[in-house]
Amino acid sequence: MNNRHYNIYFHTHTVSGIVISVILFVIFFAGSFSFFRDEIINWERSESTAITREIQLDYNDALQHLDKKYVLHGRNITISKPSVENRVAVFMAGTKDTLAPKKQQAGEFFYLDNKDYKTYTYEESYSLGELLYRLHFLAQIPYPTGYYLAGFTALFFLFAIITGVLLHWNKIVSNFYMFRPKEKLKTLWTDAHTALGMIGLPFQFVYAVTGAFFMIKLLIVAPAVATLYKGDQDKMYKELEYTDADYKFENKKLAYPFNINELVSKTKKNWENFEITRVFIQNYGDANMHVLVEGELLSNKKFTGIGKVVYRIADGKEIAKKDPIAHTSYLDVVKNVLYRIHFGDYGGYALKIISFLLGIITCFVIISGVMIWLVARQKNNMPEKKRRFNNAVVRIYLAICLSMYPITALAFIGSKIFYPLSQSNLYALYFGGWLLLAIFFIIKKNDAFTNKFCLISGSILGFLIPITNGIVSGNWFWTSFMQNKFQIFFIDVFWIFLAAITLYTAFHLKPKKAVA
Amino acid sequence: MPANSKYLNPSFWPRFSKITAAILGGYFVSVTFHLALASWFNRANVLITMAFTGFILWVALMIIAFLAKSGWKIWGIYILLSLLFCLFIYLGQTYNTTQ
Repeated sequence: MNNRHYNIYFHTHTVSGIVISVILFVIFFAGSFSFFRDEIINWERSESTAITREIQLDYNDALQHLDKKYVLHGRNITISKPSVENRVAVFMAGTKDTLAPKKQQAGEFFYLDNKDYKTYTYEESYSLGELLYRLHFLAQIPYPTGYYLAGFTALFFLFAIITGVLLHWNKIVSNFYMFRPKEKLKTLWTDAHTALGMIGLPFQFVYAVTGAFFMIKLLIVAPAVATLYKGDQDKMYKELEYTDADYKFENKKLAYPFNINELVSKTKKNWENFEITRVFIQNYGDANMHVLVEGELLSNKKFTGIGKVVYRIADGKEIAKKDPIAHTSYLDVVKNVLYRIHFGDYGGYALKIISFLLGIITCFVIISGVMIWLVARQKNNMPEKKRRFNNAVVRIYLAICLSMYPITALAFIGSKIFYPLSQSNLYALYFGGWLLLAIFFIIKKNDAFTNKFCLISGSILGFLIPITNGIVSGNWFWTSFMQNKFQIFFIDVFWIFLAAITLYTAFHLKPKKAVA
Repeated sequence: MPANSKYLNPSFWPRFSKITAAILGGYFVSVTFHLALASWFNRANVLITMAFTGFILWVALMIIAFLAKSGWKIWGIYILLSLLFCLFIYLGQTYNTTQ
């Protein structure tokens, strides 16, 4: 590699990295916790649920219940399970009967408890798990700014990954084994940055690409719609098999009784290891009522195995069927893989824990990159003003990034003690606390203090999480273990381990003299 | 040590042209390239592939733009390539009636 190329990679890697670093840290930190979103949600509510993606619901009973409350005639109803919890998501479109009262013509979205059929709006169902999940794509910043910010961060992260590898190419093997923590500060950061960056490389590459796709796919969708589909967006989504076939509302009462439970179990029996994940009812109670039952094979049986059956209620016939074993198209595979490898939900808890660790490692790679940037510019030949500016930048960066740890732990405690904590109170606790703590560290002007304080306070709060849970709900982690309340047990024990590791780290950090 | 500034562009216009060529030019080439393929081959499959290759190619083109000797030259190349791919899209839309 010639010198010119090396220096260009070096410079573009530095600039892109330093620009995105804080946002990227927030994304990875919140994202790492999001692997356990469902566990956190269950933990907050002191609930536990079967670990399955399958909807566990008595459909007939639930629909009867909803019919009394909302009148389902003529509506399209989707029942799905976005996360592993007791509540399923129900989306109902307004009835297609134009003579029906106004209230029935309005659409509804809510979560439905699968046992007592209590309904919850999105706000009522809001949780810390949801907050952390949405924070990892900056959804709290009004749309579309937050999404685009997150998407372009992912894109430039991809840029930083590739320039980083190119820059490091010649020493990729030799430097991997190099770790010189005792030499000078710069080599500590550099060795950690390159070695951990290499370990996390495949993981980070996947998240950069899929993350960019999720957030800024409009940039590739819009030109495709404009040119290839002459502006007809629905046509494209249909061709990419994102939409279901639409059946006309006939406005005649259905003369036959129907039994959704039976259709679901009939569909399930078609294939072994098949789990029902979505039920879509069109024209409820109408002569042209159709029911689509969709599901997938267990991911350890077949990674992409999406199947569905569409039933016409009037004559009970199957009018469409997609076999998850025999018919898996390239489209199905790409669409499924892009999501699965991002969510990491196909390998049980082992994969989730590894993904969490790699996510936190990435956070460390980001911080060490920022530290290299600072240390490399602390030379005596640098003008004093510039050095002070660089120091201030790093101080602000560290204050924002590191204070996430104690604040996240605090939010766990807060959402347990004050359960149910409303969305706005949760925002005030998380973002207000975060802001205050960051300002405190910025004023305090001591990076080593920031680091130590965050690790220790986060650890103490972390240890308090299972204790708070035990006192408030009576679910001590050993009782939840014995009662097989797995999600509650998991979060408690997870925090004990996490707090123990960060506490150990905090007490083994020795302040190092900066040597230029 | 920071990168050796001997190899970088300190003045405004060379820097501006390279950054815009990288981000905008790279985007145009990546998108038109994929759409040109999509208009001649299996449209749905090419589009869903673009979901990931679109971004990877975009980033690769960014890096190439930064390596270029002249920002305006790379802008020229990227514009010519985009126009060429646009021609393929147009021809595909007009003559390829299989989809």
